[in-house]
Amino acid sequence: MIAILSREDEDKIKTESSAIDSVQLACMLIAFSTGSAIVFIPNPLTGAASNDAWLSLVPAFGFGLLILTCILYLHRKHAGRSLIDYSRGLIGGFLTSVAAVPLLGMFLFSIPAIITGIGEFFTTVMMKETPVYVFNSLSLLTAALTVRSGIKVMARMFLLLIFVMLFCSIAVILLAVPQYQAEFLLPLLPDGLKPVFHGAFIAAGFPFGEVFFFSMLLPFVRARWKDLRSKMYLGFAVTGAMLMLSTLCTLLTFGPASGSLKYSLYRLAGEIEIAEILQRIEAVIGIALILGSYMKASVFLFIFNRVLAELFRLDDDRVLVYPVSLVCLMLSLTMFDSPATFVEQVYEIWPFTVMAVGGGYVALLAIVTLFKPIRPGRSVKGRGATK
Amino acid sequence: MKPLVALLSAIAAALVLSGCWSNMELTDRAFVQAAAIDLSDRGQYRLTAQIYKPGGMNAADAAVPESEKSYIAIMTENRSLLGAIRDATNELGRKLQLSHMRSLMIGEETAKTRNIGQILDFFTRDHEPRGNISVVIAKGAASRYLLIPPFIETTMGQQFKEIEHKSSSYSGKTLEVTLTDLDIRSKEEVPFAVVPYFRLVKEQRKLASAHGLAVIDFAKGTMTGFIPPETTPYVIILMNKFQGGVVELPCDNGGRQKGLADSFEIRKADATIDPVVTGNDLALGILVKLEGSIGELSCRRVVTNEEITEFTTEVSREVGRRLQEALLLLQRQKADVIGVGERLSRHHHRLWRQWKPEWPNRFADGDFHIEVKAKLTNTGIQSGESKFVK
Amino acid sequence: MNRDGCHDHGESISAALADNLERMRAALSGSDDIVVDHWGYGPGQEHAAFSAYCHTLVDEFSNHYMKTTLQDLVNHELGRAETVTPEQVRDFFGRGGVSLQPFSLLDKMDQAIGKILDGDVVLFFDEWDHALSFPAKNVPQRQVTESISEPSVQGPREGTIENLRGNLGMIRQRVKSPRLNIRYIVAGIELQTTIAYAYLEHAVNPNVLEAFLERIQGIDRYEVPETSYVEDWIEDDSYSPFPQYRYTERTDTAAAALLEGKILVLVSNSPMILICPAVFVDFFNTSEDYYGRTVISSLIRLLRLLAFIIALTLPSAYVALSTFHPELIPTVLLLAILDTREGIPFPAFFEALVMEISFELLREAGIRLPRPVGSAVSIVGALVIGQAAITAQIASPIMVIVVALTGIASFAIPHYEMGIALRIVRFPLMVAAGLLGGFGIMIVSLLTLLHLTRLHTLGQPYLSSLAPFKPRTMRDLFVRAPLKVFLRSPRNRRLLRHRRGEFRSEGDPAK
Repeated sequence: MIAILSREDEDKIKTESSAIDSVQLACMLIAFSTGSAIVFIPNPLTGAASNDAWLSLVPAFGFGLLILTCILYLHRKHAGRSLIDYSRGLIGGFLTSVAAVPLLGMFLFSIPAIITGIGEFFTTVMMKETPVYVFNSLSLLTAALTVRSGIKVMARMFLLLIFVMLFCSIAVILLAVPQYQAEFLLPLLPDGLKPVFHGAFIAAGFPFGEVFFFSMLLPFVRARWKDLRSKMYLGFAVTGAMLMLSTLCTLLTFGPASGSLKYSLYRLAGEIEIAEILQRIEAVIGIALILGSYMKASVFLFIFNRVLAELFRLDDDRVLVYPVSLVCLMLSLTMFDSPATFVEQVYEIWPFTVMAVGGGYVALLAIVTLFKPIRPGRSVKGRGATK
Repeated sequence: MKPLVALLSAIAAALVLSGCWSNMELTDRAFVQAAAIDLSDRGQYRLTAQIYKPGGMNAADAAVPESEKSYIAIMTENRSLLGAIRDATNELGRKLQLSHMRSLMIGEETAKTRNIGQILDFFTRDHEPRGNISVVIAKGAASRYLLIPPFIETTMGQQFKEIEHKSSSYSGKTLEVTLTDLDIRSKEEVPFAVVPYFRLVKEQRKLASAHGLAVIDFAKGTMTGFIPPETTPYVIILMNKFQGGVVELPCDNGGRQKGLADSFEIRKADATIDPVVTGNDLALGILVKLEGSIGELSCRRVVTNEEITEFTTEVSREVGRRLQEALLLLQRQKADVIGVGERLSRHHHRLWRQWKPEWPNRFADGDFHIEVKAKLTNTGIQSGESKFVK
Repeated sequence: MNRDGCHDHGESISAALADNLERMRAALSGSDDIVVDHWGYGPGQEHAAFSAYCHTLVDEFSNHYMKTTLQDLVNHELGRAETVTPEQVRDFFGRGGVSLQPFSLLDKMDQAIGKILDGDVVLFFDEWDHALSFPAKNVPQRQVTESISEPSVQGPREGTIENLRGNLGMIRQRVKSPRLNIRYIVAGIELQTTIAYAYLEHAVNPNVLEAFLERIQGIDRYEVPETSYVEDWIEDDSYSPFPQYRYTERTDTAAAALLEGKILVLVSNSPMILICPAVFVDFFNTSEDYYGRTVISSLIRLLRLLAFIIALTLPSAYVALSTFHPELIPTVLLLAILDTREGIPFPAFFEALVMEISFELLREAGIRLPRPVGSAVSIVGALVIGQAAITAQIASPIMVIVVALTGIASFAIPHYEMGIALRIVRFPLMVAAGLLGGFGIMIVSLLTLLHLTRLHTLGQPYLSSLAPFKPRTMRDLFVRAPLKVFLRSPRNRRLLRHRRGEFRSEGDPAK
């Protein structure tokens, strides 16, 4: 992994190993999946499934789990090579390049979407007058700088930030307990399972299905297989639990009004009033949102970078970070014309893309791996789980 | 070299991205404490905003005769509320900031004739107002309420909120209803809500007093009914939101005890409403459990077990009677504010689908049976017998 | 002693006395404080010798070295030294005779000159190509007092002085282990400072030591007047506001650092001890934490954490909240603030900046003022300026409180270097808050965190224990576990492992 780090970093870190451990990777998974979803996800889900929204998370989580299992399996079977790498070995270079095109397109959609989310949040809720490019550019700049620092730095930082984020979210959820009314969850399944699956479809795209991107990060881990596996599942379970909690608490507080709230956890924090002083603590959720989105954008950017580096067989992949970020910035400012476009693309088209491209790709590779004997292909930079 | 470049780019970024857009000094904002909405003669909204006036060294406000006025009121008219708020800057010179608003008053005329959905939508859609703004319907023109000096709080906005908050706990004659509550109620299966009703009374000075509840039907968006103050606590008990109140038991022996009464302080009241559906008929089984202590004793004795049982039975009877009155009133007004429809929708969903269109009538025709169980927890620090009244 | 590029004194001392005298005079011609005494000894006092010393360095009333030297050679009262011959001198002293006074035997001229300038008395004898030098330095020294910048309530008050030998001696006295290695480097031609670095052999991290040794290469060519020059020389990032090494003037802190596996650097004529490497969390711990009991030490550590957060974010939070997000201020507080801000001509950001800068000025001025005047002026200055500013309506009372709290909080950080770092970082945060409110604060905080995570000191990540998160270290971070826990399993695992290995080889029952 030396090429990830700059030459200066190399000098400094030559005393350390340049890999991350399983706890750090699990934290990155939490950052990646929970990130912005915890504030954004209850809205579309309640819109689709009203008070059964929390149930929709279960099948979505299951789907994500399936994908996670696939990529862990692939990781183990291919001795820690990256997705592009073993894909080349399994289905050949040409097909991999073909499959990579939609993959690259997905990156060029998701990163601007995350950044737009941050910008939109701030211009709607807190600082209406500021033009959105301010938020987008600064967030992306910070993410780009983080990505350039290398994965070790990212992993270390994100562990701390995850603590903060989870603490903020859990604190808000706990403090709001007096507001909860369990009756809002009834009636159960008034319209049958169809709305639940509609919601599950949305959640499978964002965020659970996106875990397949993580196959690019697995090579950086140095850990025992059992340890890696358990930590990854644990991290994913934490994600599922947090999102479930967020949706559940939204429903418990706002009942039938949940569908019309755009940033439910934020509104939830606004409802908390404990003694005259502890009120309007939604700033806390604002912080959690920025941290989450920033971490998610950084990880995505890093993975995008890795994919480009491996596809084009580059040695130094830090050079691409700034140009790629600039492209994403421009896209984020121009891609979404109106709120309706955003909703349609993120909650209707994206899940489909994730399931088809991501899910399909990974499933294909897994099946091929199952049947084909492993050909020792080119190991670019491999260091994976040891047994 | 590198740090220099970084520093220069940081400065450049700062200059270019300087957020002088959202940046506003505290003194450029006018913090609205309460807002009152009426309809003007031309059918437009008249917004009266009460603004906190910081006790600075400014020259005294022209419209203010009293010495330590800490608020000013400003009125604007417009077809939309956003327009009215922005127009206020024309006279004030500061931007109205709604983030610390305490209460929203809607005039009775406005509530009865215009769909208040527009008002509610504005205040929930804007990011500034909080969800816990108290909503109040005022008798007459709402703007008058903001022009009277507050009784004890700093501003009328605060005054209303405190009245709602404390009164619901102590006298039981009003309820604290916030914007979020109305938001939720309006989207429920049975979109009925109650909102505190205020009126002006003149004692040594003009006061705003909580006076019952107004019933709002969100299907039409207007005020469709009124619950008088005597019946209000019992409606609140039926809504299972009761926090505290008083039951008076008049003394029915004549002579020296004429005109006297005993009082029972209700600390806790739990009501469960069981809708029982037989065929096409609805019957409500209502069970209310009360817990409380003696407030004052003038004629009865509550020393022995039998006396206590007798007392609590009387309390139960009285409360039961009043509850019946309350429920009849609600049925007359076809206002299911006590959540029967909600309960049906939650537990008997398929039936609810059938009944929903005709629900107000079905509710009005439903039978009910009320059972009250009262429990005496203590008699205060005197024993259960009044030594004052012989 | 290595000196390169030093002209033409590399030659040996000549046997001709006159030669030596001339060469010495030539080398030291610029100084008037070099004294040369001429002696005659032997039969008829026909043999000559001279002693040379720098009278500003040497105690005039110290032993008369010429006399004692000659006294070594006769077993009776010396008298007029008529029985002493140069051969005796050569034999006795050239072959390591036991003299009354300890001496060094010199054979190079530059050695002799160096010794003279280091406070020795150097004796030259005729017909001998060696010289004798006797240490006789006596310059005024500071007494060992309590360190001014690190006072303590409980614990030793031994502070270092400006004498390298004395300081090292005090440290050796605490750490009696033979594994305490002390090495010297002499740096510079003009200053010729002795840099000493010390470490405990089995406690220090070999990678850190290697990095240190690699960095310190080459410093001997430059003039190093103070320990801070060494710090800057071996630093990873000179532009970072965060200090990468710690200073102390207390010997107990130095000893504790050695046990932790740190490397100490001392420089002659300076009391400052440099502790390398220092990670972020080290700046929040003091040795006094270990002298108090668990509960109080833990609470004080938490207080320091609070102080850190306040010192860093309070002014920016105030600016951001009052200009961008007044909705987040609780109503009661807001109304109070409104009252005070009415009539202030400046925007909140500008007001905050002005107050902060005034406070910094006051602080700097307070340091420079002579002691009797200093404290009075700072207190009076702060009070008066604060009050006057409020009355003149230049600043609001809230702002004064914010600035005062921030200042006090930054003093609660035990190590001065970290306090400075906070002062520096606070300003960009305030600017960011003034430009973009809460979002600005978040971005700058993230960038600072990124910087801290990237920073390394001698190969160790700067946020060790936090960034590569090690749960084990939590017991000594924001709280302090009872010392029993530390005794049984000391922080420095290396030392423990080594000790276990040692004991095991001695046949001791395994620990």
